Amino acid sequence: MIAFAPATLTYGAASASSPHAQVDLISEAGAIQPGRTFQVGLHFILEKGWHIYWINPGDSGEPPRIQWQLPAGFHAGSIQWPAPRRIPDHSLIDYGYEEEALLIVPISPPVRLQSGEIKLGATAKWLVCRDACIPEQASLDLLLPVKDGSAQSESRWRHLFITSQERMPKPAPKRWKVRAIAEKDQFILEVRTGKPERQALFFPLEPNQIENSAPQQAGSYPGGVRISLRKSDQLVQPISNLQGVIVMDSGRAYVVSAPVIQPNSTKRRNGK
Amino acid sequence: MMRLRFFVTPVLAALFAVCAQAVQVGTPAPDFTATDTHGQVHSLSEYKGKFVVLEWHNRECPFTRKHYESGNMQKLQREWTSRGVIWFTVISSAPGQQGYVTADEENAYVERMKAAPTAVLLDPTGKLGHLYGAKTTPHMFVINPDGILIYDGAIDNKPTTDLDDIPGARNYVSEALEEAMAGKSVSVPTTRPYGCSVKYAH
Repeated sequence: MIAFAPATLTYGAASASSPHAQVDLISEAGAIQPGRTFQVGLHFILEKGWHIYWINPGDSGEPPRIQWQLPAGFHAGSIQWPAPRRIPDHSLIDYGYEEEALLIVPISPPVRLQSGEIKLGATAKWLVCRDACIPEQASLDLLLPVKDGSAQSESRWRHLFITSQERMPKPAPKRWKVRAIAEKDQFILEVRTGKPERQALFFPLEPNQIENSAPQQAGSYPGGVRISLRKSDQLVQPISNLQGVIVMDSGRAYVVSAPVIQPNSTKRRNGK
Repeated sequence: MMRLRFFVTPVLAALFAVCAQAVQVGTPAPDFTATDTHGQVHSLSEYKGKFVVLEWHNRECPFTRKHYESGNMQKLQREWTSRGVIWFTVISSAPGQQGYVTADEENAYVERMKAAPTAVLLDPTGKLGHLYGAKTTPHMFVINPDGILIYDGAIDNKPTTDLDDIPGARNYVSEALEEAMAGKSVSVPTTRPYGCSVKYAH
């Protein structure tokens, strides 16, 4: 049931091609420096019309997974996910990536390393969908030399990492004020950035808080932007936080955690 | 202020009505009439007094395949129908869409996979799917003997295509049926269904 993508190995990158995706395991650094964390990435180039998924896939699908086979003393961090898009899928909305995406993972090598070559092994599994969904997987081995010294060694993919970092959600600036007002059927997410913002899209990190397929109504107000988000049918308990990624008109993405103001909380405060 | 709210609300209500929840747990499950792969017509109202499970199905969907290739779905069908539950597998794929099958094709599949539902309902127009708001394959519904919907959501708590995830999964359908048969209220009555989108006509 799973399409195995045959892998080819070149120095500093490992590639695999499946019917609908080309996947490369690449490194930002050209060499491993003992004790110095560096970034590797799983780079997907997708066939036109096909998509893969964000950490919260939305109404259908599942996010890619990576299992690492690393030498002793090496540690892989968790996947850093670029900001997704809303992808219509029949009557549903999925959150994911079309065309290409770089999923970045920090790798921490041990402080002491013998010179020579290091093999970083990864087994990646992903679901790629158009009308139909196909589970695919590949085993990729990335070979990197060990290099002592303080000068950072850059690989030829360094530029791709820099442009991909721009799509990574950043922590929301401290001066922003974010809150979500709970109404009967919706949340009004208010993001006060200090200036009017025309447009913004919200992507929830929790699966059961908002209705993915409901259109998001965004509107400017003097201090920022307000987005109305229909509550999820699965939301039976009041929530204290609405967490997710907000993508502004500029294309910049931020992680927000909005405290939820319940409808009766102001009344209670006035009463006491 | 109230007046203003009143003015705004119908507009929003109309907007949301399009994607509003089709059914609601704790309320009567809407009656339906559908034809199975042997040409027999079934109405939900005929099965008052019995538990009814609805299972949305697409044989080519990797999430559905996880539950059939592992034998998990057949095991559930066998277990619950033997305990008097009516189990309908429902296919809402439109002609030309993934998972659309003829009655004969489906009967061959049921035999090959050793599936054991009470019947497979063919819903190529998506009428039954839309009535219940079935989103994914699988998407599971449980209706109690009074005709009340008591569960709406995922089959279990592992939203993956990985067969290895089945043994450790918490099966919400079995849980709902066990609890309801024991006269208890269902502790997890609704979850986010996971899977492939139901392949309704565009």
